Amino acid sequence: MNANPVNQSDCPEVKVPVPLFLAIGVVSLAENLLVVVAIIWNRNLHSPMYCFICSLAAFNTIASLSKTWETLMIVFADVGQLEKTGSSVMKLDDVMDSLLCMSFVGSIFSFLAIAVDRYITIFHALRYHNVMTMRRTGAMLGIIWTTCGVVAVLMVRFFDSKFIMICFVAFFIISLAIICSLYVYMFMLARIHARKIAALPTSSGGRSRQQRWRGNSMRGALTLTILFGAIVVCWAPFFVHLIIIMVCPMNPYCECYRSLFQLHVVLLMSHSVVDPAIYAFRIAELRHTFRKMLLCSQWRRCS
Amino acid sequence: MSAADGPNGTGASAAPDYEWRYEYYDDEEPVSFEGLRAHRYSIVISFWVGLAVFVIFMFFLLVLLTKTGAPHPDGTGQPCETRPRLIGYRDTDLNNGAPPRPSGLDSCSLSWCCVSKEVSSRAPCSIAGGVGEGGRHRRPSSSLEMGDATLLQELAVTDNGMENEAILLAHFNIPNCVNSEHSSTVGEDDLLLGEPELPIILEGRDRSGRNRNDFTSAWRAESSYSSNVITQRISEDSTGFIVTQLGLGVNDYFLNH
Repeated sequence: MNANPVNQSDCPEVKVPVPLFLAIGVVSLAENLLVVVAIIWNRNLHSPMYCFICSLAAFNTIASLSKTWETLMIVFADVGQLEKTGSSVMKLDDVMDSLLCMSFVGSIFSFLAIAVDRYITIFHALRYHNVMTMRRTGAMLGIIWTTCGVVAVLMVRFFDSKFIMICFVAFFIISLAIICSLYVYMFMLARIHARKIAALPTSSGGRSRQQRWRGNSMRGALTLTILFGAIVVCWAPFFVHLIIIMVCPMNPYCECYRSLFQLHVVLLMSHSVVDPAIYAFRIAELRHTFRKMLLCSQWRRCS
Repeated sequence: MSAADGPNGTGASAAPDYEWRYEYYDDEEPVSFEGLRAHRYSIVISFWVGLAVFVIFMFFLLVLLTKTGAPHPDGTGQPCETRPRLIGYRDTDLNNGAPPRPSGLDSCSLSWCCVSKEVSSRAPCSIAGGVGEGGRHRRPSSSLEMGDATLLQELAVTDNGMENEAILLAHFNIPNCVNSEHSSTVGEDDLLLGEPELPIILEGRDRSGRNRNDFTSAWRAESSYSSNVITQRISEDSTGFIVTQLGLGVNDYFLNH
């Protein structure tokens, strides 16, 4: 490491241009709104798995909406159109922060719910339809949304308290651990089965079968890495930021990390852009629905 | 987010003077940058390097998990009968409205038998296709053929169902009588990276023909559900191999009968 003393210049805050915020917000809003509308519109997609994906997309929609709105308000405030200290403006700011918090917590809950749903699908396949009925799904979603609303209000009200931030960070880490273990467990079971099937002796030679098996395994590993890696890469910087605020507010190294706050928020928002590609657009039925919705010139005539 | 709390997090800035900027910290903050021994951004760099290492490590761990179980030709499976066995159902084309009908159950569409050796020492290796809210009425004979090469039964979906399905499934020794179905829309892009699907429905029946009817009716009962059905898709490529596509989640897959 460099032993020379650094100049007294502090780490300047890295500012992200406003058009980038707006672009990410608009793209994310469009994608997730499309997913929500498609799932609601197509009656074949009214099943537990799609409900959780729809919930995730709805939370992402709220996040991008509130973020875009806040960016616009900041732009107006900088221009001078908006009074920065008006009480209504502050209340609006509180509302938007609450919505953002709600969507963050809700996104994490939705990831958890999707992982648990997939886990039950694989490991309790025979009882899936008994365990995961639409009524229970509705109840789970109701609980998730209510909890997120309450938590959001509490967080914005008591954001000064360290306890809330500690809870938030702990919740994130625990959820991440649960999601990771569920997916790895599912992956391992899937591999065992694939291995057993590939080990079947058949009439033809086994070499290309082995290659096919390896190809599948690589794809599985890639899928899981992308899914989990996206969550970690997009969410971890923001949470490390929160940890650093609590742990070392006066440290110059921590100050330099904190100066990248806007970049971390951009990463967080970009996860809303990537989410539909990871979860929703993979599903053939949803893609068919999108094509029908977007390419159908006359709505009424589309089946 | 608008910056409203102070840098030390003690809530000193209780005054409602919100700043409409993204600056998180006041300029008066006395953070001294004198005498830094390491680079200013060392925490940032180390964080991102750690993150990249973690993601790459996770990827290689997953690849290693797959490679350590390299398949080898295993001829220990007993020949099982190539009777029709239902493994999954068609759930695609729900847009069409009509549920798929099992048309070719008599053909050896999918056979997925468990060798009794592995399983006879355990509780009934039970797997079933009849899943659903109406599953209780489907309860064919469910005895494990102990000395038999095939192991099958239809498990009624009850709360007393198998608790350790995953363990059983993991211990199946799949014999060599696997046929496959041409699934016309199965493509390479529908593997794990594409559609999420399910690896599991092992299904079987015993040798009595009566169970075939049970299966058929169970299959039909199940296929009438419009919700997602757990399926396993086995597709055969041009060289005749069998590839099981495993994935995470339930989706619409089908079997051609």
